[in-house]
Amino acid sequence: MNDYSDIIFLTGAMIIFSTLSLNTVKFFNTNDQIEYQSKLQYNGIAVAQDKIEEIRWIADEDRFKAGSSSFLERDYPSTVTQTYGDENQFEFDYTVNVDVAPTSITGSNATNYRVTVLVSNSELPDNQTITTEYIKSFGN
Amino acid sequence: MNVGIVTSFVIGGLMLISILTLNVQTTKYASESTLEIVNNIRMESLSDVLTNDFQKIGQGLPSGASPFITLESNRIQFRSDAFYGDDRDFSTITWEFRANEEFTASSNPNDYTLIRSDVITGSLTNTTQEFGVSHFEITYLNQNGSVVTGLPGNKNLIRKIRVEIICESFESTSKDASGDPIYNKVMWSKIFYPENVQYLNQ
Repeated sequence: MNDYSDIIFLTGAMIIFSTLSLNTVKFFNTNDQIEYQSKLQYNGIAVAQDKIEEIRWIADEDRFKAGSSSFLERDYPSTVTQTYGDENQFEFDYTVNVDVAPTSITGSNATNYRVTVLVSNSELPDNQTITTEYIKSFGN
Repeated sequence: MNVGIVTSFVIGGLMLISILTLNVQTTKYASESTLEIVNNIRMESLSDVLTNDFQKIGQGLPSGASPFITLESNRIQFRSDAFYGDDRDFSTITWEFRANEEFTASSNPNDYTLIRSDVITGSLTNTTQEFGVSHFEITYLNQNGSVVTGLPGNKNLIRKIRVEIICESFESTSKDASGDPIYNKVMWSKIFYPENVQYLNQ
């Protein structure tokens, strides 16, 4: 047994070191993934805000009425491609969905619609969706 | 020559090299991570100032005054009371990307100077801020989202303004196979719908 003790110690040390190396690499990968996902989320929020801003300036109330031929929801889901750089070096694809529902607000004389914008990307964790809401009002 | 000692030295040496390599990788990764965080904070500060300015284009102007002065892809000049509610009157704000002027505070050769200047009308006070970015582009869009041509003549057709920025880290994070430095990049773009230009006479 004494003859093999060095080899046993060495094997033990190599196993511990390999585990340490693997854990470190795993940590690097997880961190890289989180950084990439945070970039996706950051830009996804900008896409959702852009959509809310666009909806904010729609003047035609028919676009918010479910039975109307120009109903807003008919245009969705749609894919929004964000490109960056001189020669579009970077590109992110987002799926945008819009949900419109009439809503009543206590004390309000206007016709109100709750517009929910849902932005998703296949690489976001756990099918995460970025959600923003806006109340669109039309005077009676 | 003792074979056991030589073998121990060789295996010990290999272990030592592995440990040192891991240590170097960990240190490099830590610095990359720090540069990424710093870069994100820079972009956040820049987008905060820019969002405040662009959303308020044309705010607090006297009747008949046009909000837009200069409309180029790398330069925009407009009138606005960007800090409405304070004791200042409206001012002329300029955002200009100088693609031929390197940003001296950065050691990244891809960083160029982006200047924001804010001049109060009739005053000599000029507030200037400088940022280092590698790409800055402004696109002017009409009601349908198409690019407005014939500027500045057609400036009253503008309803949306798209701004795109790429920020690179001031220091390189690593080197590629050919030995060229690699910089961390953060991208951001947003379409602004300034309230005060939505009803400009076409």
